[in-house]
Amino acid sequence: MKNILIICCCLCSSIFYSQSCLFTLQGQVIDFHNQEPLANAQVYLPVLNRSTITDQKGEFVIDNLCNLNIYLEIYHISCEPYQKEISFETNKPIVFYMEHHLEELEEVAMKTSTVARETVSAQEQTLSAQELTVLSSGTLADAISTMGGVSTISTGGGIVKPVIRGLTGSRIITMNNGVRMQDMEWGDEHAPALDLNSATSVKVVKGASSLRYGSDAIAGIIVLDAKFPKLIDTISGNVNLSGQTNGRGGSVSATIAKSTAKGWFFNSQGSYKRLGDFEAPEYVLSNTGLRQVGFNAHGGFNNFEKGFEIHYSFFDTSLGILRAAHIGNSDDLITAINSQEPNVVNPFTYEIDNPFQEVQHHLVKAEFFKRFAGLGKLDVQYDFQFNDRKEYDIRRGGRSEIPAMDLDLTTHTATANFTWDSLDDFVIETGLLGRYQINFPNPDTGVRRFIPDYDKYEAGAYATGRMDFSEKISVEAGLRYDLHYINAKKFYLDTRWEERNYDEDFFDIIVGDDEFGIELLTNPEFTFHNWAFSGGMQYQPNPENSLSFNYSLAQRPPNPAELFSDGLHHSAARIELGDLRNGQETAHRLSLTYVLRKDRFKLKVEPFFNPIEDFIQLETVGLQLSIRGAFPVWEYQQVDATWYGADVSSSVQWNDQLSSDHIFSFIKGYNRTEDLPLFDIPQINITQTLRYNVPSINASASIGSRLFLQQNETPPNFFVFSQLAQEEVLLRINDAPKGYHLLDFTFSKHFTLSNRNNLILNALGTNVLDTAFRNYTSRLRYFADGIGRNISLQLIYNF
Amino acid sequence: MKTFKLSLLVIATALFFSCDDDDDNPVQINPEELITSVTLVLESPSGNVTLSATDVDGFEGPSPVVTTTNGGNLQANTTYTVTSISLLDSSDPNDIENITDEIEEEADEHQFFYQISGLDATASYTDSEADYDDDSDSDLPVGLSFTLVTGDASSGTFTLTLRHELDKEAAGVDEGDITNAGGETDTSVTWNLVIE
Repeated sequence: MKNILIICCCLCSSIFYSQSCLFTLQGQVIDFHNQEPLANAQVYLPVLNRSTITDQKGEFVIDNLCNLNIYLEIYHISCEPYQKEISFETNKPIVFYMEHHLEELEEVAMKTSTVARETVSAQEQTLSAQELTVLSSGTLADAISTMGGVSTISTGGGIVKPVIRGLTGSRIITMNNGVRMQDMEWGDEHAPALDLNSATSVKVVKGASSLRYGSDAIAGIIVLDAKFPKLIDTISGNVNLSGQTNGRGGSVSATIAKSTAKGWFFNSQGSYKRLGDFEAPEYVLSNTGLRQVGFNAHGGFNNFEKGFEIHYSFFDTSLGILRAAHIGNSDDLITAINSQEPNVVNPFTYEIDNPFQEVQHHLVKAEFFKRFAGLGKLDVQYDFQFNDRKEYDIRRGGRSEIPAMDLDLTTHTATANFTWDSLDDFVIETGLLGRYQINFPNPDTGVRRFIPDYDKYEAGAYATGRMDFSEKISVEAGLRYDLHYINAKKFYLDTRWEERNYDEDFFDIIVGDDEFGIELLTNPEFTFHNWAFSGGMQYQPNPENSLSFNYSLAQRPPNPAELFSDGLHHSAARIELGDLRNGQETAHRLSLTYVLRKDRFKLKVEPFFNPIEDFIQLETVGLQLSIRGAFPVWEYQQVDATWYGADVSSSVQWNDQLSSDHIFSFIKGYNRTEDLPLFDIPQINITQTLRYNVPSINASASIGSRLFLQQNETPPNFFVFSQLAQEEVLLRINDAPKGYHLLDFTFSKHFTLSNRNNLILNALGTNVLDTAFRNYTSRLRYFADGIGRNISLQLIYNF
Repeated sequence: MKTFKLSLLVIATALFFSCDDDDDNPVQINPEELITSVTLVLESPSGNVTLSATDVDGFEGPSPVVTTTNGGNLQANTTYTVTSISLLDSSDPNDIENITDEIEEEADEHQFFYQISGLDATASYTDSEADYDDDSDSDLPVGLSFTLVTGDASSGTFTLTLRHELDKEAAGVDEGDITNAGGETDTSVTWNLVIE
């Protein structure tokens, strides 16, 4: 057939154009990305069935053409084919730019910018899509706590916050698909408002080394990304069903994705999760159920040169708070701590009763990027977030239906980033940020505001550079500045205002007094200048060994709770007070990473040293006697503190089937100002996993052991006045629970149904021996044991 | 380019909407469940004794609770009756709220406890949930009314505690033993008293 065509073409050309076939097409094929000539590209004229190959300079010549308009195709191994009708002038060279394949594009991006790793020298770890699938029925914090140096603080089965090297809350930046989450992360009982099912990778950077996202990530950065297969003109996706015995519920999640050859893409993901009360080995943890709905949709256009994306995400959750943790005064807390058993245990139920939280989070993102030949990539983004948090308390007079706290946080953010990545061994990234945020506490609660009305403005700029001196040495450095301005309107009780001595230091911020009875209205304004620096190097003398060093400096302004909080914290039975005088924290971090890679053995050693000046923490300052009994008063104060520690992880491939992982983490933290151990420093923990893999039947099984040693350095306990005993009683609030050991297992089998369809069955067991334990960093440790045995079954269908 | 213009438009719109800065002050909140005073009158033929406690800025404010005793010391070997404990929210002098009414309405969720230390006296409940709710036939106590029977001359403390959402069925609770009551403390006040 082809031959016939060729004959036809030859005949045609010889018949009609033989008299004027004297034109010559000269061209050069160039890589759009780095402006380098592409050798060995095939230039093909299908109409004439003529082809040629470009030389080392990317140049080619085709002569004896009969027409100045011609259809031509160019092929190169790593690029999208170039197929176009062009017009040319004879002997006038034309430059053809080739674009990389989309998947190639991601690899290029990985090599040159920040997709693969955020930095070259900092301590980072990533959970892959596969690892995430198994963990997706839990929370984000639970998932990343499988990494060394990452732990959790929890206030209930579903209220779990990540802790990176002993630090949490506002000291962690959470990036959800390119958007910095603004979900009132200042609260200990405020879990990240996002659905883990929507992410396909989660990365943790320990410390503030990645300056792209902000200057205040003293603890670290969690980066969640959603990447979908770029399959052309087909629909792909997955359905994930999971059920679990503890909580007697489960979740369902589904994803579909579609993209076209031109570069259009769309994907959507939804999930629903419902769990009843969790159970400790000996009793039901009453009112710890949860309900969660997540929805995500992304759409856009993407090719090598330019693209845009629109993303909408919705998250809605209701979370029960352990009933026994809701207490009235310090006598109730003393009783709870001494009794060692929850004071309320009801039969298992799916009902979520007071106290509970209801959190909704909307996120809209519009992103646009363009690559400039020989320069780099410009990325412009706007995102909008609306976070609505309602906390329902146990109230009198039928008010339990009315939230006791109702906060709306609205955030607008615009960012622009430019990456100069056209040079092979030198990359510069720079960017600008503008943010505007409104916090609105709804006054209809009938309860004084814990956090006041405020507007917050942020402006930031950064630049980072990375240079690869040789295959062995890479060096990076960066600088960032952020301006934060907060304008608040807050009511203070007259008595509190004087007790804080604000009447001397802040008399000029009062905007109303007499008309507000026993309160006065103030207008606090704050401006903070935050600087961050990060620098480091990686030395890789051979493929087996690599050593990196990183230093980072970060500054974090006080969060709203640290400045303004003013009221009773129920589950702690304490009055918590912010301080308008609180300033920024300044953190320094030195970290070293050594990696050894042998055939069957891998070792990673990650020590760090982390002094923080003016570290803000809650400290007990006294006692308040009220009509409701006695309350200890805790105040956000600034001290100088130091953390240090190390994570050591290794993995061994014993033979083709058997492998094992070993992780050891320890952290020490001291308050240097008062020469005391810090609060809530995670225990030493040792995690070991033995895995048996049978590739021939696509199955694997593992058994895991998690050992948590007792925290042996705790801050001292203190005495409180007990109304019941009519005397001072030691409040054993800082006693560390005993160490414990938990045993886990997993089983996984893959079924290949067809070329693209497969089925994965996972069975997971956690705490399979049903060990009763209390975790030192769990806020519930005063009231109840941790979660007992849980067996879950997960079925994933990929299409 | 079209998309770029579109993103600019989105940003511009957002900034426009977000810049409608108003200087309105936030609404003041009058806390609804606050208790600022507790008063009970111990009545007897030999004279009344009034115990009161006030916490002007509520439990969250720094000023301490102030307790007073009016009518002198208690008399030995006397039966005192309390017909109602008055709980008020007087934080807004123009809108004094009676919290006792709310407790009567939710009698099944509340109970008072009387703890006596050093004093030769015993307290016993004289009411039940059924007294406050026509539809209830529960004989579990609420404790808004009670009797205090004094013995010999002595001195010590009297602590009044109001628990909310407690377990009234737990052992000893209906006899006034707070040990197993659980729940959450709404009020807890102690008076120093003398029986003469």
